[in-house]
Amino acid sequence: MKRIYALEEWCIDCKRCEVACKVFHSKSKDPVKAFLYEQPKPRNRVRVEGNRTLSIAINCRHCPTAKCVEGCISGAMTRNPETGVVTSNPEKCVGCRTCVSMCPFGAVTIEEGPTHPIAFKCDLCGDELGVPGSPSCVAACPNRALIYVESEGN
Amino acid sequence: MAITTDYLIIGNSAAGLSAAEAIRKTDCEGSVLIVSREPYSAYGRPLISYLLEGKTTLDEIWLKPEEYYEENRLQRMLGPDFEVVQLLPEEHRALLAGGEAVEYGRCLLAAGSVPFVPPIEGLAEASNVFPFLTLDHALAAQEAAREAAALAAVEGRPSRCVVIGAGLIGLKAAEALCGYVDEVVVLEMAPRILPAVLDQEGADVLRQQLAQRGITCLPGITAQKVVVEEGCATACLLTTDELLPCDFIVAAVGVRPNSALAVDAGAVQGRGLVCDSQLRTSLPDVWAAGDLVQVTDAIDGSKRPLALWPVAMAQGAVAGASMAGAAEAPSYESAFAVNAVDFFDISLLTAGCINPPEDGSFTAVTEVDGDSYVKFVFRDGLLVGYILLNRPACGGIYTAIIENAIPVDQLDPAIFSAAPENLDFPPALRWARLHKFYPADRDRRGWKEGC
Amino acid sequence: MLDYVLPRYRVMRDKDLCIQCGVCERSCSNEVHHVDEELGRVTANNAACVNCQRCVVMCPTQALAITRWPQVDSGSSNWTLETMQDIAKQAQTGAVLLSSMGNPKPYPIYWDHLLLNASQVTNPSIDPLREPMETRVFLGSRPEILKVNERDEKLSAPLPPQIRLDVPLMFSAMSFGSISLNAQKALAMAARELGTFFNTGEGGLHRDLERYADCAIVQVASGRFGVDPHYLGAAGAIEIKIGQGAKPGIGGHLPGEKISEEVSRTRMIPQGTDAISPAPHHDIYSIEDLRQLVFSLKEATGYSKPVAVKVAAVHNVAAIASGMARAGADIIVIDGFRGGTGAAPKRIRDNVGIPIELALAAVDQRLRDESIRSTVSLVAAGSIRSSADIVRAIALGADAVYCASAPLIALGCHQCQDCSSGKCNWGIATQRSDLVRRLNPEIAAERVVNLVHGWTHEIKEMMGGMGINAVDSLRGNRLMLRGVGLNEKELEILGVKYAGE
Repeated sequence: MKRIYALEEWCIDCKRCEVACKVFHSKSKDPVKAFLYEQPKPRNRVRVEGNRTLSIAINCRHCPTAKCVEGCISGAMTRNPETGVVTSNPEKCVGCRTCVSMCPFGAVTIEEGPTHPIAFKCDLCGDELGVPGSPSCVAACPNRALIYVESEGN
Repeated sequence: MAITTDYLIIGNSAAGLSAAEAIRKTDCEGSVLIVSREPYSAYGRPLISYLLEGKTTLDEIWLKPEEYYEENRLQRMLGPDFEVVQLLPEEHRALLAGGEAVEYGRCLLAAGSVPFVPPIEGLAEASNVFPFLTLDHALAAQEAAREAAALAAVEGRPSRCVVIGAGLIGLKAAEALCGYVDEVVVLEMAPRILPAVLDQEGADVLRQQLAQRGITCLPGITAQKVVVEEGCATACLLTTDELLPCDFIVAAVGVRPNSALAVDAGAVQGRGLVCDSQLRTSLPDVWAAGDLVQVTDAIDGSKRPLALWPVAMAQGAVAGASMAGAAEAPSYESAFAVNAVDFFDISLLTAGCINPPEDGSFTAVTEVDGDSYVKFVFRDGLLVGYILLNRPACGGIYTAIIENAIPVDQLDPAIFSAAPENLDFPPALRWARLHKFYPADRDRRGWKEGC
Repeated sequence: MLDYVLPRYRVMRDKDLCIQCGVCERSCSNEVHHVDEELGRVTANNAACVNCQRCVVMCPTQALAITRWPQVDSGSSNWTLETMQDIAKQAQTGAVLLSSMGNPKPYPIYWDHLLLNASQVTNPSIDPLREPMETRVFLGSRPEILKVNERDEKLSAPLPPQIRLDVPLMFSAMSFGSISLNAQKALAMAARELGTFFNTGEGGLHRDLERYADCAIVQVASGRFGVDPHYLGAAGAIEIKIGQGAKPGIGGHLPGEKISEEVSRTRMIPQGTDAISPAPHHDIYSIEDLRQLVFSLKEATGYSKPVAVKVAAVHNVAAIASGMARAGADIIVIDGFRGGTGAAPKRIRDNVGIPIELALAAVDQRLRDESIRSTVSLVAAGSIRSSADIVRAIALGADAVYCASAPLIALGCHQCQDCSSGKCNWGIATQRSDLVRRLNPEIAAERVVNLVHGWTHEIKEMMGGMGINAVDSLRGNRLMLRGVGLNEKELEILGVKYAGE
């Protein structure tokens, strides 16, 4: 499957990926509305760690044996067997944080959802769950510190 | 005429379903039959408290859509008639409560746990005492809570539910029922709440926060007797000799492996069913997965069941692969407990060894900061356990550190003082962790040609 | 002491568009922007802004623009704000004013007074999409006579060494130290892809770039930094730098704090010591001395590669060029006064040297007059801004041009002229690792390649329009140029007729 890889060598801690992620996952897809008006606030699923000296963007690795899927008590977190994309169904998620306790990368967060806190994670910017789109973080990166490429595994 | 199947799966929850999925990855042809005494499609057992809280609905709790079973040709026989009452491993037969027999090729025991009923006088005979394990239990408790609230309103007194046992199940039940009745009192024989997953200090912090949200926990106190009037429990006589009136009781003292079937058939049982690394029991062609399996604790080497969802899922996958004769069948060696639980807006993540023996081989670091309580337990330069109360961010990174036994001296010391980061790992390890399946034709700069 | 120096720029932030995401704050090495949580808005320290426009480009909502500081001047055309601010600065520091990039003063730009010809009726124009168009050129000295063994169809005497350029431009000298390794790497990668050359400047050849050595012209300048037999032997050509258009007559000074471990290794000087390039080569006081160095280098490399000599365009450049040709230079490089630099005294940059157009025309004419033009190649440098400038330069007599500012602009340079601060937000003129990292050479090289491809297409179209199908046929073809807005003397030096003539 195609995966997003982050490259420390080029990450410059600008966090444009975070902005783009938030905007893509907003209702309006407009940065001004997304940041200043929408409630609940759109959440970024990619997170830049570090500072200007050393930084890297972290998002879901879409593991073949995904621990978050293994741990999910509600069946919300699933890995599409065809595409390999791991997504959380907001309708089913109860926000128990098992995925948070299981993800080795800290790539899942529990944040305020429409009715109660639920899991947020990278969905590869697909229009529907489990189907990859074209990741907006990769497009927003000014320095190719995020690449979306065919990986060696599924 | 007996029912015949290649694979018989006894139990329709995490382990059973995970095994069925694993079987299908290798064997697309063999017939798979799942039997369970519960008349429902597989659902997330831990969801019952969330269902009562309204965080999920009866439409959403099902683990798989109905089409899934058809697409994967998983036959199901669900309901009391289909409970397996006897297993005849030599004959490869299982007898069902309804009188039918199933002839199987290979069998998986994934029947989970059953509630343990404590020997408290009056408890067993009262009709308004509920366990809190299954959907039926939860719906019954919900109904009782509604009736209690209505009755109490008429009588002009507060309605009250007593929960016996402040383990994970007891406290989740308390949280769920809190929205229905006026008072929820949780009794716990042990000197602290959540005795298995918290230490004393953490338990005290959590207990105060639960109290602020309407749940009274009484650690060190339990019921010596239940007062039963007309078949209904009306009060608990506490070990302090106080009488605590109640409208109904949730009994959540614990669970034990639901392994009687196998034991009766002659399976070797320790604190759970004894299995090999492929999760084969001592019985021929009988595998086991989930709560009833005795697991080797990866940290202290002790052997006991780990009644946890992720463990059941992982075991189901191993057992299923082995049953289907997968070419590269994974093996199951050991595990350690990882728990994630939330009460209202309180979050609690714990893993591994939390209350280490004071034999000098462990060190622990704790920190209380406002509402949060954090504890890390170390042994021989390795992290072996943690408590993260109200500091959940990136907790799974700690779990990975325990699981992969990453020496603490390789990590940035700051990793324990705030939310852990991937950058706290040394560069080579960091790269390996974050770049699995990295394309072979690219270098670490993302370039196709080196320079 | 009260600072009399005013801010030069002002950040204009559209409050309606600003989402306070902090990208601007994290993008600015001058610490202009600050997301103020207390105020609930982003503030700006205008005085620190150098107008590099990194924030403007990076802002996800286009909420930013940089404008001039709105202070009016005194009203005097003589005592302009800039003049007075220069005085204020010097009154404060007592120092030489330092600046960067090329001469920004409004001197005439002769390129913009030279118009190109096109074929109509009497000779056909050529469609470069349908017919072959040669942009390849060879640089080096040429023999007076070609001796051919006609029976074997072979040359009976070997040609002097030459370098082959698939496009008539090369990237001018910029040292590792003045620019980042990533910037130099990008130019090296682009040169390889384009079939041309980059120039190491006087900074040595970094070990990471040795794999691009065949696309490198290595420089030997007055400091002789990084020069050893390996360096000379690895390169495609060698260039002796006598002078530079941005600062003729001036040496260079890379302060010790910029001599990092890598720069130190590459320049072969101790870490932390000042790298001083003297104003003159201390072994060159005459054409004869130059000839000695030229032949020393040829000797050192077994006469296997051409040796170029680069001088700044100054008053008697034509005579100097003639001397250079006679001193054995295979390639003569003339660098005009608008050429850029990483650091130069402002007064030198703004007041010394002459325009490349006039210098080039004068040199080409002088060498022709002396019948030695064909023994050397001539390269023009000093602000080639577009493909049209290249066509004009070739028509004025150049074999090829050197470009630096344009490819740097392709890399992101916004000509803020603050290179000497070492805080280049685009990762070009800096050695700060967090800033260098901003320039991914893969992207940068692609951008430079794109630029040159675009220019090459345009050169082919312009040549085709003239009915010319090879750069070789355009060289020195001043009939293809006509002047506008020029006086008789200018036309005479440029050797072109007035438009309409």
